[in-house]
Amino acid sequence: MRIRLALVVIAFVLTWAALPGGPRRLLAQAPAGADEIVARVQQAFYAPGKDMKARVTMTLISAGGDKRLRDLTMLRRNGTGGEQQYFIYFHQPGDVRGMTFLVLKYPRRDDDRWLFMPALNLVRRIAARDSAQSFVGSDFTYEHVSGRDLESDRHTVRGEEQRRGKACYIVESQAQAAAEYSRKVAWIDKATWLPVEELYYDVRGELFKEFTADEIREVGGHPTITKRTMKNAKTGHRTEVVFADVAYDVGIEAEIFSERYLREPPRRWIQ
Amino acid sequence: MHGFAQFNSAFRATGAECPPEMACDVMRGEERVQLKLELSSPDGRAGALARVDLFHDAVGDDRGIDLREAYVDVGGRRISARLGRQVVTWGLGDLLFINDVFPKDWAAFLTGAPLEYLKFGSDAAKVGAYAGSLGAEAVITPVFAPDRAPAPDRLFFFDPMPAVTDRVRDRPGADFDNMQLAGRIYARLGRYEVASYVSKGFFGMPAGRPDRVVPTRLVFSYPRLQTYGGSVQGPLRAGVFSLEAGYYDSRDDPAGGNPAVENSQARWLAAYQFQPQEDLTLAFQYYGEVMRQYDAYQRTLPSGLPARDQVRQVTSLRVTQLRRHQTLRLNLFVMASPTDRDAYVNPSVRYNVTDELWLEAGANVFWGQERHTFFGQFEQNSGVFLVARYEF
Repeated sequence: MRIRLALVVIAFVLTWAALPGGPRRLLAQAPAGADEIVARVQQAFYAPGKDMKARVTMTLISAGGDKRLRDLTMLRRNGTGGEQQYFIYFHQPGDVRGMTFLVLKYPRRDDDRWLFMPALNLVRRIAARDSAQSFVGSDFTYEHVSGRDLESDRHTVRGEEQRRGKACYIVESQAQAAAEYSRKVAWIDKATWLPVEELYYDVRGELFKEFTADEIREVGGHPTITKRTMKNAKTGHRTEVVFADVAYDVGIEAEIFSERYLREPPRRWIQ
Repeated sequence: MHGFAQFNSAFRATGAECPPEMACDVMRGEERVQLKLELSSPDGRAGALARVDLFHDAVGDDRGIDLREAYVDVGGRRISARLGRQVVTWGLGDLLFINDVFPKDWAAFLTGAPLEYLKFGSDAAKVGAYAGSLGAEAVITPVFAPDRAPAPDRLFFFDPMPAVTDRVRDRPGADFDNMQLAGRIYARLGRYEVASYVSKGFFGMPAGRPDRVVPTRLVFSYPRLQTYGGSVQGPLRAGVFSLEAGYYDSRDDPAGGNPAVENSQARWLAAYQFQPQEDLTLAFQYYGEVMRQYDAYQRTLPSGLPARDQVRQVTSLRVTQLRRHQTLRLNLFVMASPTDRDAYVNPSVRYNVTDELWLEAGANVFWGQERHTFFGQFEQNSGVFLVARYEF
């Protein structure tokens, strides 16, 4: 038994050493710890507090200046083992008013999603395709809203510099799993571990999306991006997002994230 | 206070020759205003909602007020109740209903109204009890409301005895004995959802009973029905599968020998949906129903009436494509029955011109080899519809 275990360990080490850039990558990263930076970013960006409540307004602006509004309440609760639950209630526009949306998010697995349509009193489970799916038609994808697995990209620190008035790490992430980008370069504020800017490149190496954190505020001890923009560099379409009435650790009950509350939206939380 | 103003029209495109009392080429020409009022107590434990439609239809100069929903919510953490007129929907089918026995407006659906008008409110009390991901709900409807069936003022449908024009309706009375009950218990087990359903009530569509062998009068009544069923839904590869089954227990004709009453049936549904690419969804359904006591049905079927098959099967495909930041929705729904040899095709395009205004244009196309099958009977109602809605 012990011998077999030892063989497995040896085989694993050999395989890892033989991988392109295996040990070299670790050595190159050791001083800055790219994976550690990204893990901290994910914690600061997508998971602060035990739970969160926010009123989110997304303005979709076309290159010609045509505007659409998506106004929603977002509730998030952190589960165990990296699981998260999101509950979304739509206030505007009128054709989606009263719709609710539930996302159960798991590490390294597709989300489970449900949508409730009030006019039909109908709950529908939705087939989810995570990586590149636009969130409510905006320039943000689901992954921009709720995060992406650390292991889905290969992360490398490309240096440090001042960006948008902050001392930042520059972290490059190369997609290893399905993604809408092939490469992402992010400027991470060393003080808050939040990205202040991100540039997304497609398979041809061309810039196609730009993310900027336009306002960062401290809410309940958590630095929070309260204004952000995602711009499609190719079409000129952009989405501006404002997080208002943000509150952490407000005690959102686990049962809110269920079919019952999809059908009977929890008035206490969405007012 | 919210709501919408809507224009909705539908046109028959078959060039059918209609009887004089039928709205022929124009099936709907309707203006409608919906007002929605929602109230909530400061602590969120109680609330109320009212949705009222005011409408006028140029076809038949039809006008009126339709109280779509009006209910009061009382909520606790473990138990909640919704009292009043409310739309209830459960089950997993897309336009195929097994355990959803709540009232449906087939006439609105067939004359090009938006899909939400397929369902209408039940005057009911819904009581729910919940613990974690487990839920149990009971819907009590004291007074029976039948489905709104296609009527000869606007629609062609199969009528086995067109010569008998003297027709009366015999609805279940408002007795405690006729109270309808429906219940559902459901749970989420990991990533799977299971549910079981039961109901006691009446068939939503009436059964016509002739008064004698050479009939002079048809009495339409609503036979008793009990249903039992279950469903399961969960992830499968990159998509979602659904399975649902149910048994329709025809209480007024357990032996199946009464030709005016539907025989008992078993129904089942298997469905799968997935997204092959962003904003494109494909959904497949396979549905079947099998009649019990088919021998008794065949034996007692009056001569001259077309016989149904023992098994009816239906397959469907829905393709939904979203474009232009999800403001443009292209939809194609195809439903076909290899056993009935009939089909229903519904293409539609919807565009949100602004956040307030959306336009939808589409078609309802029915086809059948015979005039008595489920979709085939509606062949001459094939046509196009248009909806323009301004939300406020």
